[in-house]
This record gives sequence, structure tokens and C-alpha cells, in this order.
Amino acid sequence: MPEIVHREIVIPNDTQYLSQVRSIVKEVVTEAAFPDDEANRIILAVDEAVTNIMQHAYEHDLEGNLEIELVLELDNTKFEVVIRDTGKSFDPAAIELPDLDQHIKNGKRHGLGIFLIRQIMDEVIYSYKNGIRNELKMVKYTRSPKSSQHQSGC
Amino acid sequence: MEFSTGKTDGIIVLKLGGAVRAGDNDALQDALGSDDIRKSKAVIIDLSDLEYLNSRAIGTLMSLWKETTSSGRKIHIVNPKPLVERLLKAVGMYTLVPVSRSVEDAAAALSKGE
Repeated sequence: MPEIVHREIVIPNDTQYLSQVRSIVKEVVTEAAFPDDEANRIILAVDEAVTNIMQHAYEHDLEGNLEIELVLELDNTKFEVVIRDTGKSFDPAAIELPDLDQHIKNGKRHGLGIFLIRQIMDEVIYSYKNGIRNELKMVKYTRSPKSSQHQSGC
Repeated sequence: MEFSTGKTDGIIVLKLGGAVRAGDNDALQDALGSDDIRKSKAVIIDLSDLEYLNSRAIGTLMSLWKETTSSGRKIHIVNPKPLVERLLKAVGMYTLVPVSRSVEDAAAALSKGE
């Protein structure tokens, strides 16, 4: 594995560009020692995070007019992605996790993305600079305790 | 995303394949909300060819489970791949929805009232 892999991408606020996000994340995480299913979960976590920004940080009428920036970095110990946008503040780390029993029993369709992100990634850190931008940093360590969770974890 | 449906003895078999991503969620919701599914006595969801699904798709499956079981009908999941299996386990669906290895096994279990 190379010592450091660094990639950056800027995409419009449009879900059709999620495939580019998944491709670049896949390109980076496959450089690491992540097993395939772990790599796929990381791709899913980044996909969910960017989808959340598109759905919550920007109003629908601004679709395509604003941009989302992703900076991905991989070293010997971890994969890290920083996602920046200039939309409304939205802190996924502050959202209360749903009571899954109630969530399922009530037949709710939404609200699982953040739960999955926090199950998959080791660190989810959000910061907001008023009037400037949102920044979401997510980290997955290559030797993560969550990697060995099979029953209740993700 | 790809999907197809079949019907045997009042049981609907819905087969999902490929990947359910942001642009596919409305189509999945429409497929799972069809009259055939609403009127069936049981639903088998064959996930053996499904590689990937996002959180909204999981929510749509949860909603189908809720609708189906609240009307006294049954639902079975068939043979999810490892990624899909882990996601469904993570959100607790495995504690609620029976999982079978094949459509035939699911149909046999349903015919026994399981």
C-alpha cells in the first residue's frame, strides 16, 4: 500500500454525480487493506453522507447550482474523507440515533442513513463556519474494532 | 436496479438485482407498493442478486414489512449477499423478517404458515 493516497473531487449538488463519488471512494479504499465488504460499507457511508447534504443542506430549487467538495486521504493507518458544502448547517453527528425497534415497527422509511454512517465509520466529526461552509470529516481506521463486528454492528 | 415479479399460489416473489441507489428509490417504492403486492397473501423478496442498497431502500423494505404484517400477511427475505445481510442485520431486520436460503425454501415455510 502506498504511504499516502490523496484525491479531491468537486461535484454539483445533483444525485446523478453520486456515481462519481462512489468511484473515487472505491479507487482510494481499494488501495488499502480493507476487505471488499468493508470497502463497500465505506463507499455506502460516503454515499449516504453526500446524499444527506443534497437532501438537507441545499434547497431543491438550487439543485445543480451549488457544489460539494470531497477530499479523500488514505495512509497506513486510516481512510479519511472530508466533505465540504456551503448549504444549511446539518450536523449528522448530533442527530439522535433512532430507536430501531420503534423505527421498524412504525414502518418509517427515512432516518437510517446517519445511523448506518455512524455504525460504519470510526469517527464522524462535523464543523460549521457561519456563512462559509459545513465540513464533515469521517474516518475509518484500517484496524478498526468495528471491522470485526458481525452480528449487531455494520 | 433491476426487479421482476412473479406469482405462485397467491404468493408474490419480488426479485431485486443490481444496486438500489439514490435514483432508484422511487421506482423501488412503486414496485413494493403495487396492487399485486398489496393483494398477495405473502411476499417473498429475493435478494440473491442484489449487490448494494442505500438507507432509503432499507427503509422501504421496513415499511413493506410493516404494511404486510399489520394486515396479517407474511413476508420472507431470500439469500442476501454479505453486504446486504450486514446492513439488514445492523438495522434489526433479521430479528423480524424470516430469511430463507432459496425461494423454494421460503415458499415451503410460508405454506406451513411460518
